Amino acid sequence: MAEAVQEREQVLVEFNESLEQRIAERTFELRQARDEALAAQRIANENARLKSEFLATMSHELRTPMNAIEGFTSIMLSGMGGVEFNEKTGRYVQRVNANSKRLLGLINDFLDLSRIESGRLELANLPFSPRDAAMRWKEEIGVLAQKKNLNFEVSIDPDIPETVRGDEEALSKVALNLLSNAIKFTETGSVALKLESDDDAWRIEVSDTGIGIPMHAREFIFEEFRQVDQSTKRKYGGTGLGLAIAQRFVRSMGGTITVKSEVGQGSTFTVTLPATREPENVAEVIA
Amino acid sequence: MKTIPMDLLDGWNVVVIDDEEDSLEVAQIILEEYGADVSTASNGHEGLEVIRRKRPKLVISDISMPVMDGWGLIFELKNDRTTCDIPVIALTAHAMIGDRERAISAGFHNYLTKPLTANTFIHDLVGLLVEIPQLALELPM
Repeated sequence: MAEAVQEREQVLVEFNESLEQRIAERTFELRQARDEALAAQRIANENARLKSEFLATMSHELRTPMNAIEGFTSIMLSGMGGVEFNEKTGRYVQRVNANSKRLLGLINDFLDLSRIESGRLELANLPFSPRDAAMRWKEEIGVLAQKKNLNFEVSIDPDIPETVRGDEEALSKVALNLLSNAIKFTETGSVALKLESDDDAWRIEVSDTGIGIPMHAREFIFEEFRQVDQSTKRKYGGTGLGLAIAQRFVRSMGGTITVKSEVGQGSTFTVTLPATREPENVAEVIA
Repeated sequence: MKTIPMDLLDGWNVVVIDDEEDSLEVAQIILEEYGADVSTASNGHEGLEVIRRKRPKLVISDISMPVMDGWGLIFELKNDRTTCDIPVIALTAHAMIGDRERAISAGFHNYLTKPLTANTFIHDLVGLLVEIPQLALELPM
């Protein structure tokens, strides 16, 4: 009897010891795994930091000379600083200026895109008036429409919220991109900007009576560097970055962008954004 | 765009601070075209010295500079009773989205975005000057 008890006790002691050893082993393994995860995280953080540092430096280094070219050519063209030149040199400087603007635009687009990709784009979340923003877009785009003799219609739903939250500059970039595309691809007829609203969303709709987008292309026009085809690229220019940036901006603001189109009839782009209605008196405190 | 009178800044003492020589020169040529008396400096530290000597009506300063950057400069200016009332406008690069709010809360009156060009610089500047009561009154428009 006593022997049996002793034997069982022995078994228990051994079991206890082996359990302790297993716990120790597991703890060691867990520590090791945790240390490895922490090390991987440190490397990832360091990589992200290096990438954003690289982007910041690149962006500064690329833009600084472009800013100088644009600054000085604009001075020459305006005749400031007593600059004089003949009709031919004037025309050439004009070309340098136009091309430097184009290159600077491309650099800015490219940097926006890289910043979005690296998760470094910090969009503001401030109250702004969609109506006021639309009026500014109208002013800017109206000039382009007039140049091409196109009708430009703007209509704003009276129910549109007085203020919404988001990044007005990024959204303006989106709207201006859609509107200038609409003008670019429309030879006759009209371009329309509509702001609409329902309970929990508001929409920016840009439609045109232009060349339209073929079915197969609707899937990839939001990808970077993609245009409908090579002949479009030759005829209309552009970098193929505009819509890619627009879609990323809209997504970062919790919205969507969609397109409907019929070849030869026109296209309609719709940006849908959540309408976080701002209680009117809180807006100022936050701003 | 409204026409801006060529004597807009006649006799105004303006200090421009930027570490990029080209950028300084572009700003100087344009401001002088409108009658300003421009002094320049290539970093915040030099800028402080020029500002204390010249007592300008307006300061336009880049943000990112060696030795002392725009943030250091605005801190020093705002903490000195003799300079805290001078309006300072920041020059910022494209889409430094977070920096704009930061610039204004640090004490800059507002900001202008590079590139500075003959067509837009003065036009944008006037837009900011009219918001500064002590300067708006002196604008010949």
